[in-house]
Amino acid sequence: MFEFNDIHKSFGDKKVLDGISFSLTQGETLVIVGPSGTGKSVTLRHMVGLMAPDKGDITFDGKSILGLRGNELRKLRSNFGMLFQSSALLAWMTVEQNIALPLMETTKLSMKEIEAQVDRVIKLVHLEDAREKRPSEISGGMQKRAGLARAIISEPKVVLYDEPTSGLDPVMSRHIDKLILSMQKELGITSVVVTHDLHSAFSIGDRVAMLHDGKVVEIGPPKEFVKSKVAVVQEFIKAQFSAGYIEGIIL
Amino acid sequence: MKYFQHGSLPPSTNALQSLGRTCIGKVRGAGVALCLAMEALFFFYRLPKRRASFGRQLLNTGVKCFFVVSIVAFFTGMILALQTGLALQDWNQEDMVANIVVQTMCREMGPFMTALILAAAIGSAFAAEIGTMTVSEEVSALELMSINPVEFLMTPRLFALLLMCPVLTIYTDVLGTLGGMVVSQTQLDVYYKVYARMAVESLGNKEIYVGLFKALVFGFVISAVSCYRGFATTNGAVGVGEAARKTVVTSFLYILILGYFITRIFY
Repeated sequence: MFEFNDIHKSFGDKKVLDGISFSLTQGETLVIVGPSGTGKSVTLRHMVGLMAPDKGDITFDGKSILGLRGNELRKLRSNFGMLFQSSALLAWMTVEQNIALPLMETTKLSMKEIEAQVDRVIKLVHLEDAREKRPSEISGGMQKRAGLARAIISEPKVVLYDEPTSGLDPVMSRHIDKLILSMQKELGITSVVVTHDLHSAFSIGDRVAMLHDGKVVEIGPPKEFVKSKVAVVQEFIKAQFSAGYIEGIIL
Repeated sequence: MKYFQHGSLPPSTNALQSLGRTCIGKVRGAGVALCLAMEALFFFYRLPKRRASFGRQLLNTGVKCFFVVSIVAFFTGMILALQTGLALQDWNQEDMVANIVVQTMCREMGPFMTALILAAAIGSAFAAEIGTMTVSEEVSALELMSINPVEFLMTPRLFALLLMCPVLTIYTDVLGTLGGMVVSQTQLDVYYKVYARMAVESLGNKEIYVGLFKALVFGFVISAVSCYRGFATTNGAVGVGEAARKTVVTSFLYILILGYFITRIFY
């Protein structure tokens, strides 16, 4: 479905992506982990054409997405929804208006049809009580759920999650994890999740990839990922978990 | 955004290269600001769909600046009348003060003072609003939803300034002329009826349309600079403050320079 082939990206003197390659299959949840500043969010932005690589190729359904403009780019992006790190809700709109925005702007659906779609996704993310509130009037967790509702309202094939649990308490983080899992199970959505949180990564990911110094140093299912021989991977895992927990994942 | 996806320049190793980088950066910035403004103009046909946002921007631009524009306009007219009137009194020509005040207000000071106020009060707000949206990824989210940020955010702001800048300029011209009238009557012993007659007689169509043309250009420049600075914002809250500051400084410079050249072309 998605192929990243030898992608390089630099900002000035700083090389952020140094030849990363991986693929994504339909219905899969790929979790990208790694320390801050290793290019995880930049990778996501490349997937939807918000950034262009300096070198390499990205294909979606067998076609290169590089250099797409106008209608072609709009068509590509209609396959994607994205939950941004900051939720990226428009401050002057209510939760309901934010969620309806993609349909209001890009479809010819009637108000009644849009309202029905909004009701559907609001129930899915359990935000019934907050629909009339503005983003500044709701908690961080509710903002994330509203962002998720907006990301899925257009029924995209792929949803990208940029740090979906950052800044949330453990209970809310697990709630978001469950939502991501239910998106995959109920809607069959392909997901790419960028996170620091290995607990999330192991509970929602079909495969986990680790970026370090702009390269993919390990990629595989959680059970294989924890057994990685790469030193930085083991260091990253041990910084978050005890040996007993890791054994639990392997078993 | 496509305008900000150009490659970065190679690092400079000496002062000359550094100067070159700065110059290229400034020219590129002016070019991007112009492209953004032209694209926002192109989407004028979407204005009916954006009427809520357009109305909000009109209200912000007109109502929020009304008080400060009134004070500045009235006192500018008073200062002009006082300074020129005192000089004219030496030659017993104080009756001419109306000609000078009304012509200076309409040709130069009206559009100039209005544009400075709009750049400081509205331009900086535009840059800060759009800048905050840029750093909090709202602009990226719009792009991902296939909503053009230029049409969605800039078009209502551009047309609000294109409309309100000339409207406020006319208001400034009228109020400045009235300010001059008060000073002429109370300090220069020029009877207000004489002042009014002289003002009306000296005011030609050219003074009015040159002033309004300037206001239109200044409105365009303020929105182009402020929205460009907003979309180009990086580096979080610090970057937002910097965008607002740069908007005011850059707009002031463009208003001064373009104001001179427009006068030079028409007179």
